[in-house]
Parts: sequence; C-alpha cells; structure tokens
Amino acid sequence: MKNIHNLTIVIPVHKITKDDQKFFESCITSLKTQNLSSNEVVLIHTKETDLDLINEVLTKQKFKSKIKFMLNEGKTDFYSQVNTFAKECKTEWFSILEFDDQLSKNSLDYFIQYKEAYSGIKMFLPLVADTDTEENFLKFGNDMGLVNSHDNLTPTETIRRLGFVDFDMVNTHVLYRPIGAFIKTGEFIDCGMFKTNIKFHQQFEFMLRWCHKENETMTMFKLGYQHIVGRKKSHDSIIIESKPTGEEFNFWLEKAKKEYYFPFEREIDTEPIKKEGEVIELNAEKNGV
Amino acid sequence: MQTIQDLEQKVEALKESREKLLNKKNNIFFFLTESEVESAAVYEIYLHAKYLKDIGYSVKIITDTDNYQHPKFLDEDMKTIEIFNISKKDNNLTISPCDYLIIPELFTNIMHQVHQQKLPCSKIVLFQSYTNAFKGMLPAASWKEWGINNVITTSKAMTDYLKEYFGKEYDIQTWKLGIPDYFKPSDKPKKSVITFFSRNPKEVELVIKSFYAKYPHLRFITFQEIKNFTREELGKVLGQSIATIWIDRHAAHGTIPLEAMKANSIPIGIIPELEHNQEQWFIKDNTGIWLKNILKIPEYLSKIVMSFIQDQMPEEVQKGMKEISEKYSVETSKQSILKAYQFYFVKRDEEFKQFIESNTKVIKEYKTKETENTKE
Repeated sequence: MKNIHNLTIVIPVHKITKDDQKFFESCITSLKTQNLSSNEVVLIHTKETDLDLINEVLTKQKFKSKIKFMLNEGKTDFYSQVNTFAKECKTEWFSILEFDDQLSKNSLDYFIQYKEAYSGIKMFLPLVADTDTEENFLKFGNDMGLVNSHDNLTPTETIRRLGFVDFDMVNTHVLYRPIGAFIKTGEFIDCGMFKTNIKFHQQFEFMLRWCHKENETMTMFKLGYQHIVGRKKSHDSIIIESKPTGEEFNFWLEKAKKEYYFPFEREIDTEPIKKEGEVIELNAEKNGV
Repeated sequence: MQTIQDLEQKVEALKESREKLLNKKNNIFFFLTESEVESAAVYEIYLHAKYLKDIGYSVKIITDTDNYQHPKFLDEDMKTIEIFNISKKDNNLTISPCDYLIIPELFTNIMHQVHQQKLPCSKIVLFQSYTNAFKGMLPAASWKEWGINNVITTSKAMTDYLKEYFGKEYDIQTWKLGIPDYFKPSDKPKKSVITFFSRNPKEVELVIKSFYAKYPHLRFITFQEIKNFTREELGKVLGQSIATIWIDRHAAHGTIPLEAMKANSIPIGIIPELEHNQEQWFIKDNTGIWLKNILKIPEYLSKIVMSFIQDQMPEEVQKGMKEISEKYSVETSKQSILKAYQFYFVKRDEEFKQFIESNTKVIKEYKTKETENTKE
C-alpha cells in the first residue's frame, strides 16, 4: 500500500525504561488517531534500545504492523538519530515525534490542509502545548511564529504575513522548535541537518541556519503537538540536571548564533567554559545534550 | 391671488412632471457631505443611488462640501455617480416637482433649508441611525414641520422606534441589508486574528488588555480594528479572522456581525439597546456570542481561540451563521431597496394624478360657468 501523504513520522528511541512506558503508549495512541496511510511511521533505535518493551506496547496497541524499524549503528544521541534517519528517508516530508510526546488529534490533517494552501512552504511548525508529566498545560511553544514582528506594514499585509517565520523572528525569539514540525527532507539534508557539536541550542542553531537559507517556514494556527516537559532523562531534564552555568548557556547560545552561517559542523573551542579538570562531553549518550 | 390661468399652468406643469416621473426622466438627489455619517451608512446611501441609476434614473450626489470626493472605501462602480456641488458659484440646480431629494437623518439643517426655500421636489428621509436623528433638532421638533413625511429605514425595529418617538403620521418603507459575496471565508486556513469594531476605543482597549492579562498564553493573537478598509479588503480580512468583536450599543441594525457571519468569523457582540423582535434579527444562540457585559468578552474570546486551534468550533454555530447570512443576499436587498423607492414614485404619481384630475375638473367647471355667463 502506498504512502499517500509522502510523509514519514520518525520516532527516535535510544534508551527506554518501564518508567517511560506510559508516555510511549500515549505517543502511539496519538498516532492511531491520525489519518495515516501505509509506511508512514519509522522508529529508529539503537542496539541498546529495549525492543521487547517497544514491541509490548505496539502489540497491545495493535500498531506493530504500522511501524517500520530502523537500526542506527552510529552515534546514539537524539539529533544524530534524526540525521541518520533523514539520510535514508525516501519521502518528500518527514516529521519528528519524540517517543514521550504526542501528536494532537488531526495533526496530520492540519499539515495536509496547510500544505495544499501554501505550496511553497518547506517547514510547517505546529503550535506546541508544553505539559507536565501529568499532562497539565504549562505554555505554548512556537506561538511567536504567529505574531507579526515587522513594523510599517499595512493591516492587510500584516495579516497576510502572520504565521510566516523568518530569520529575524527566529533570531529575536529563539524558541522555535522543529521537533513536531513537518519538514521537507531534501531541504533538511541540504541545509546540513542538526549539528551535534552544539550544546543546549541545537534546535535554535538549526532554525537560524534553515531560515538563513531562506527556506519558507510557517507556523500553523493549530495545536499540532504535545510536548511532555520534565520526564526523567528527557532532553530538558538532563539539561537541568547537568546544572549548566549561565556562562555555559550563553556560550552555546553565542556559538549557535555564529555557527548557523556554516552548513557543516566546525570545531568549537570550549576552553572558555571549561571548569578545572573537566572534560566537556559532546554528543551525550542519552538525548543529545 | 391665483387665477384660473395660473391653475391651468400648474396643471400643465404637473402633467409634464408626471410624464417625466413615469418615464424616469426625473432626477433623484442624495444629499451627502463629509460628516459624522459612518461609513456603513454612507455605503448604503451610495448603494441606493447605484441601484436607481442602474435602472435608468438620473442620480446625483449633491453636497455643499468643497472638494467633496467619493469615499475611498466604496466599490468602484459606485464612484461613477455624478457629484453636484451646490456651494460652487456657477452651479445652479433646477429642481422640479417630479424630482426626489433623499436626506440622511443627520442633516436636519438641510431639511430646514429645503423647507424654507419651498423646493417643490418630494423629500425622503433615509433613516439609518436613531442617535443621529435628534442631532440638530430642537426639543419636540419633527421632520413633519419641514413638510417631510416620507421615510425609508432599515428594519421593523427602526420603524417602531420612529413611530414611538416621531409620531405615527409618517409613511415608512423598509429595506433589507445585503451582504456581498466577497464576504466569505478565506480559501486558506484562518489566521491568528480577531477583528473588532467599537464606537468607543477605551472599551476595546479594556477588552484587549484584559484578554492578554488574563490569558497571557494566548499572546499570539493579533487584534485588528475594522477601519479604513475598502469593503472588498474588509471581506478578505474578515475571511481570515476567527472572531469579530462588535461593540455598538446604538446600532440600528448591524452590518458588521452579518459580514462576519458570512465570512465565518464568529461575532461576539454586545446586544444593542434597540430592542429587536428576535425573529427579525440575527441575535440567536447559534449565530454568535451575544452579551450584555463587555467584561465577559475576554473569556469567550479565549474559548473561541482554544476551540479553533483544536478544531472544536461548534458546528451548530457555524451552521447558524451560514443560515442567517444567506438571508441577507445582495439580490434580496436590491429588490427591497427598489421596492421602497417605487412606493414613493407611485405615491407621488398619485398625488400628481389627484391634483391634475381635481383641478382639471375645477378648470372645466369654471370655463363652463364663464361660457354660461357670457351667453347670458
């Protein structure tokens, strides 16, 4: 059967434990509510991934036949997993779904609707609901993509431009996240994919680079993605637990603002933020911090 | 003292006027000036003028404002209507009994002047705003004192208001508003915009600031005032907005909520003070959100936004809006406008006919008597 949407949803998984099971179950449930066609979901895993747990959830959810598995034998951090998948992706579009997150109901339909209306767009960002582990709403993500950031426009032009995200907007607001977005695969690769040598601000650096290349980007005025904040050993938790100093955080922010200009990874001198005796680990094992 | 010859002349003149009236050779003048007449009302005036022009009448906008120009928000075909400036030195306007002068309710000074100058034309008040009707009028004064008893207005509610406050002696015709088809939902997904209209900027400021204060997570909503758009531009803007705030307590009818409904932008409005028969108006549970307290607006706005982004907009409301807006078609409106004026054309014709018949009889009787006297 055909992949009619020319889209693959990729779920990168490295380490998953029993504690994570309920989140993964919710993730799969959210996929089941979408109008998926065949071969649209790929789970990219590593040798250390607990496939028994994964299969247990998929079997219980009757979703096993709808997922293809891809083994990643390279670097295991989150962003490397995504890059590895992208290089093998055969569809025109792909979207990243973290295994502890959920797609909103109709998320795929929103993408189709917007893609039909705006044929030149290369990335559709969803409005993201950040929630805690009990699914209590905390805030929206990508919402600044819906706001006009340009002066001196007529009202009709202002309204026309709402939703379009450009370099200045990303540079000003920082917090745009391509996780959950629908991205053109070819352009993602041409752009240089995620840089794994950037710490904390990989998504920001990518978005700067993406927009710098003038890839038309739009935020959909629809709730498309639910991101769980604070799951143990998730991105956010590892960042918090590593207790970065303000200096470290800003160092990587400034690096992101400089490195976007280059489509390839360059060597980054981390001497300025090195604590005595410390070795700074890049490409941290769990989730690409 | 009037002689029989004077009467004969008058009868002949009226026969001529009647002929002109029946053959659409008379003039219809719409008085306008740059003033407080709001743009929706001005648009309706031009619409009446355009429809009458389209069926063959000679129609002019007459004004006393120097350099008066057609407002920019009008449709292009309305801007072809001739403007006649009576304040210009060499401009002399000839007005005949078969002509009509249409005066918006705001211009009581013109009603007074026309009466003083004893202009022979038929006068009709175009009554769209009851708040404007008393401007410039002395207490207990009325249009009847200026020889005006013909009115065209927008609804039964306005008719009832007129009868209650101005008296029952007026002939009143109503027309139905029409919403053009360029008011429609955008063919692209709606934007994160809420449009608004209010006569009081402070009230809207209160609503918007309260909204952002109470719902800071909805900071991505843009509020756009409905102001200075052409009608077609407004159609596009409403087509992209998810909701339209409407605060107009003195609205006689309310075009904006209907335009919003047709564009699938949910109206959230304050119920106007003029009471309406529910069957004749559009305030129903399934046509929008209708409130008495503006402090409630932010709460309903947040519900609309959250419903929209999750595809949970109530279907019965969208259905209700569509049903109502379909009743306000351009064609229905046009026919009702022409019917209203046709009533006064017929009325005038009857007046001429009666005058001609009765005075012809008088002339005949007089001449017969004269002949008899001569014989004797």
